[in-house]
Amino acid sequence: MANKHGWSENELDRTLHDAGRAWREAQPPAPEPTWRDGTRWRHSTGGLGAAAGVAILLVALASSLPPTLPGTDRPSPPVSGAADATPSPDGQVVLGDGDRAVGEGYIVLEAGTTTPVLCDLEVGPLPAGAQITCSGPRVPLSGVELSELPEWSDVNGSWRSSRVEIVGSWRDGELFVDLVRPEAEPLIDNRVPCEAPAEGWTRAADADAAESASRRLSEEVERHPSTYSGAWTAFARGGQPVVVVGTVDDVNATRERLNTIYPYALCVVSVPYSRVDLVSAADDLSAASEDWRVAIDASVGRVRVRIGVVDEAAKRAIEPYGSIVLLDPLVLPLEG
Amino acid sequence: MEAIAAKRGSAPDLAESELTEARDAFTEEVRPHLDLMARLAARMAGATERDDIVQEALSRAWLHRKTFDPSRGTFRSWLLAITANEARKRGRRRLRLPALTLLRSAPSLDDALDVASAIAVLPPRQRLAIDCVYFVGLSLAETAEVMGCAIGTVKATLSDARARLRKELGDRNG
Repeated sequence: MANKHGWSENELDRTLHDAGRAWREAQPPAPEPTWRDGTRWRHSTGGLGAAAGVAILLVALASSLPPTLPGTDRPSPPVSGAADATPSPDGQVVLGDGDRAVGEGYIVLEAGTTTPVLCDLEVGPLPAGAQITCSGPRVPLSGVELSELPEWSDVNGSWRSSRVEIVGSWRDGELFVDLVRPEAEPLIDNRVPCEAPAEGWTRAADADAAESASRRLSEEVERHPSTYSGAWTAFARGGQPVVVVGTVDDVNATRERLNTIYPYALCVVSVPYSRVDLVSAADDLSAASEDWRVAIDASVGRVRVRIGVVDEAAKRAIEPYGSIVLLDPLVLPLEG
Repeated sequence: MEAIAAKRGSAPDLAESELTEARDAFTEEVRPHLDLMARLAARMAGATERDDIVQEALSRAWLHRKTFDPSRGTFRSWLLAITANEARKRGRRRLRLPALTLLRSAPSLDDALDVASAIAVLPPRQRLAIDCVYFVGLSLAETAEVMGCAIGTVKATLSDARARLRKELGDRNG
């Protein structure tokens, strides 16, 4: 059992085992495979929504990609929309030839290539026998002593390091690296972007009530994509989950309205763009170039563009989209 | 349409009766593994996506059944790796977060919320290792197949995850 001194290894292990068993027992039966037309499977129409006994607090309506944003120490987004979480294309992130630069990610040597690159790696499993491939943009590297990289390992003929921070000089489309150091995988920032009420966050009487209310709230947000950016779960101090909704409408009026649907811990934040705007911009940006990876970030009401580096050409290409874009480069100019 | 065309192309030499027989046999072969596939899909992508992911994984497994190589792992591990891949793709396409589940076995609601929320903020691969071993119920070897790494790496990832959970929980309780 947890106590003020924390959890022992055995207590945690036992709790996780018990929780896993309870979760498995609460799962509805697996879908019964049947054939639709001799070519594809059709699943049963059994009520998954019930998910018996498991409290789904909220399925976020928009993503968190990338789940590992650089700078885990950054403060919670301000209530007014977190416009400064990532630099905008205003020159602060533009990298010029000869600039000193810093980047975070994985160093990868993809199969059949000879130039190592800095990139993101796909979260999740790699099928047996598969090779490592970058997810999204790649930044070519020069001057890296591969054998000395942390956890440099062969994966079916492709190679990867653990997560690193690198510093170097940007020249002719390559980063000439002079420093590599291991970088911890950042935690996902799930803090609540609202002040706690004076009386504290309202707790649900039981998990079923919270699940039912959160489902209704989720449906309400999905029904009005011109009003909301999305809904997601954040955690207050002490670990209490708080449902957060981003709106382009008046925050207080929205909170009052949504509280009738979800009368528990609810935080409503102002965001600059609705789901409709975000999806439209994300679609356009995705179609515009394969050099970047695009994801909607409902928590700040912006579209994140993951890009290798922001050079003058990229800046010109992205500028027309204006403030809806949050640039998230793999490599940034080094300050000072 | 593309999937259907590919499927037809994969078995041009099968008569209708042979096709029926082959898929019935395949159905029986996968049936014992459906629960695990469904659990893995639910943990990785949430309950609402579960059945679609299993369906797509089964379609993909049927299409590529001739590529299964028993010398490289078990049929179950192969199905799980395909399921995990589909769950990952689905998560990326739909831009959704996995559902958060309370740990009902914890001593109190507060503890349950603490542990659930601590798991939710783990780095993705640590969370996947916890999900596979404790929630889906996979062995270390199967988890290694799903994660595409060695068993030793799974052990190390689990150890890191538990250490991080204890630290998180200690910080919250302290």
